[in-house]
Amino acid sequence: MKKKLTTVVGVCILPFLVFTIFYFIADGFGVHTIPIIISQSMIPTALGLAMACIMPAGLMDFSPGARMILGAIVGGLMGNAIGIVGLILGAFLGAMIGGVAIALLYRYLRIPSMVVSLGVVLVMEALSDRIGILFGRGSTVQIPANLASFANYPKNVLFVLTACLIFYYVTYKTKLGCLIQATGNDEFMLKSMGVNVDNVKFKAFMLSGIFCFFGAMMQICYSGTVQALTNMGTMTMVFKPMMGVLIAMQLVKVFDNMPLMIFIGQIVIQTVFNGFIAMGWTDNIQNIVLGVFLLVVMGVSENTGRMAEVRRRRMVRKETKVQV
Amino acid sequence: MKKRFLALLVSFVLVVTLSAGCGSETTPANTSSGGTQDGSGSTSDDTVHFKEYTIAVPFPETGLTSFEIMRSNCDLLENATNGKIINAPSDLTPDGVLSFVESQIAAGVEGLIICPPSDSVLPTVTQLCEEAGVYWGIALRSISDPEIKSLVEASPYYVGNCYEDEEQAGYECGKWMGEQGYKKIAVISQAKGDTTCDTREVGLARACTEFGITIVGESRGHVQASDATAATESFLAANPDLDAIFYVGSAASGTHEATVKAIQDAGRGDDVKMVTIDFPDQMEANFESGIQVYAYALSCLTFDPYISLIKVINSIQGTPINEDGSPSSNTMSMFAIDNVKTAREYQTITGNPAYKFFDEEGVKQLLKLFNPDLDEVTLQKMIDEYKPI
Repeated sequence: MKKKLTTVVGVCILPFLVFTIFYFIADGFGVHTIPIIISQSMIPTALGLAMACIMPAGLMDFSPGARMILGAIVGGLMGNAIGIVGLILGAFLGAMIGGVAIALLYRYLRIPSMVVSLGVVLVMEALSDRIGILFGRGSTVQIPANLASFANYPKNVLFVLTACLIFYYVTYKTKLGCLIQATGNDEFMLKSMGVNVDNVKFKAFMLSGIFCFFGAMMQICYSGTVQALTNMGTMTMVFKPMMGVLIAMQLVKVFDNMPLMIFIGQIVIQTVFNGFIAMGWTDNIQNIVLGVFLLVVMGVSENTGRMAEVRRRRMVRKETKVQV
Repeated sequence: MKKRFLALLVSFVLVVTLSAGCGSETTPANTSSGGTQDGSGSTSDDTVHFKEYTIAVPFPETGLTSFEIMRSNCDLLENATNGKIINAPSDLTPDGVLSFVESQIAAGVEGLIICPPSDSVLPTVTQLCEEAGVYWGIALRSISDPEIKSLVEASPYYVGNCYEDEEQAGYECGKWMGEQGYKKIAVISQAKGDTTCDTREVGLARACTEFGITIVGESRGHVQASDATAATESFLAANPDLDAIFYVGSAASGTHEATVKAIQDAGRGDDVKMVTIDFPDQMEANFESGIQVYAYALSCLTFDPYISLIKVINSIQGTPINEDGSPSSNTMSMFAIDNVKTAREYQTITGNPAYKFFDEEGVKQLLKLFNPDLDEVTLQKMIDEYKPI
C-alpha cells in the first residue's frame, strides 16, 4: 500500500516539478498561471480521451479534431435555434456522426485505420463547412454569451471530470475496456481465443465519439466562436492531445489510471507552453524545445527497462570483480 | 444485408463529399445593371458586348463580413459584365495556393486572382496559367524577389497586382504604440513565411527599436478563436505589466473579439489594450469596450482584390489596363482609426455585407469597354480618390 502511494505521488509530482522549474526561471510565471493551465488543458484532455479509446487497440486516428469541430458547428447552430438543449443535442449528434462513420468504414472496408481516419477528416471538414454555410452565416458559428457560459472555465473542469469517470469505468470496469487493451497487446492471440477483434475495434471508434462530444461542447463555449476548417486543418488540433496520450501511455506503466495520466500529460504540456510564453521565446523556439522535450520524455520512458538492465549488468560485473 | 448497408453508406459518403467539394457557385444577383440583356445572353449597352467568362477568387464563405462584401460586389460585376465569379477555398499556404490554381484551371476558368503567401509559388502559377491560357492577378501582395518579378511580369497572362505598404503599416502601428508610451507588447501573427505578416513585422521591429518597445511574447498560426483566447490568457498571466496585444494578422474568424473578451474576463481592460492591422468585423464594439484603441488598414480588406479582379476582367475582354498588355501595379493607402466615432462610421462599411465599392455607373468607369481612357495611371487616380465615407 505504501509502495503504491509512493508511486502515485511520484507520478503526480511530474507536473509540479515542471511547474517549479518554470517558476524559478521564468518571470511572470507563478501560482496565478495555474488556472490558465488547467483551463487550457481541458479540451486537449477530452480529445486525448477520445484518442486513448483507440490507440491502445493498436489503431491510429487523426479524426477527433474534425469530429469535434463538426459537433461544435452543429451544436452551435442548434443552440442558436433552440437554446441549451439544442447545443447539447447538436454537439452530441455531430460528434457521434463521425464516430459512427469511421467505425463502419473501418469495420467493413478493412483498410488501415490511418487511411480511414484521413478520409473521415476530409469528409467531416467539408461537412462542417457546408453545414455552416447552409444553416448559418458561413463557416464560422457564434453563440451568445449565455450559451457559452454553459461549458466555459471553470465548468469545463466538471465536463472533463465526467468524461474521465466515464473513461475510467469503461476501460477498467467493463469487458469492452479489457478487450480494447488486450487487442493492442496481442491481437492474434485474442483472435485465436475466439474474440471478434473487428467488433472490439468498431466499438472503440464509437466510444471515442462520446469524448469528441465533450470536446465539442467545450470548444464552442471556450470563446463562443468556432470556425470550420478545410484541407486537413483540424489535424493540427490532435497533435497536443496526442503528445499528452503518448506521455500518459508511459506514465500508466507506473500507475495504471489512464484518464488521470492523460490529464497529467496535458497539464505538463500546457505548463511547458505557458512557461515558454512567460520566457518570451519565439514561436519557432517553442516548437523546437517542445519537440525535444517530447523526444526526451518518450526516449527515457521507452528505455527505462534497458537502462535498468545496463545498471544491473554493471552491478553484476562489479560484484564479480570484487569476488575475484 | 451487410453488403447492402455498406453500399448505402459508401453512397452516402460519396454524395456528401461531392456536395461538400463543390465550390460555392454564384448565380447572378437579381440586381438591376446599367445595361440590358439581349438575346445572345451578353450584356449590352447599345454597342458594348462582353465575352462570357468565369473567374475564381480565393474568398470562401467563412462568415467574414469583408468576404461577404466581396461577394456582393462580385454579383454587381457579374451582372454588368456577363460573367461568373466563383468563390473557391484557398488556404494561405504555398500548397493551398497551387491547389487552388490547379483545381480552378481544371474547372475551366478564364481568370483567377491569388493571394500568394510567398513568392516561391509564383513561377509555378505563371507556368500553369500560361499553359492553360488563364489570365491571373495578385491581390494584397507585391513581388519581393526581383528574379521572380521579372519572370512573372514577362508572362502575357499576368495582369498585375494591387498591394499596400505592409512594412509602413507595421511601422505606423509600432510608432503609435511608442507615442502612447507602451513598452511591452505581445504579438499575434500568422506563421513565419507569410509574406504580408513578415513584412509588417519588419516595420514593427523598426518602430520597436526606435521607441524602445519590447515584444514579450508571440503566438502564431491561429486557426480558431479559441487559440486567440488561450494565447491572450497566457500573455496576460505571464506579463502583469503588459501594455498591449498587437495583431499583425490573423486568418481565423472572431479572433480579435476573442482577445477583447479574454482581456475583459481577466479584468485587465484598463491597462491592456489591443491594436490591430486590418479592421475587425466587430470593430465598433471593440472600440466601445475601450480595449481596442487603434486600427490600421484599408477601408475594406477586399477592395484590393476587387481592383485586381477588375484587371483580370478587362484582360479577358481583350482590353487590358495597359494598352501594350503589360501588367499594371497599383498601391492602396491604408489609414488609421483611433476613436469610437470613426470606428462607428467605418462599421457601416465593415459590418455591412451588402456594401458596394462602386455603384453601377462607377463600375462602368472601371471597364475599358465602357471607359476607353482607363489605364494604370487613371486607375491609380480612381483608387486614390476612392473615399468610402
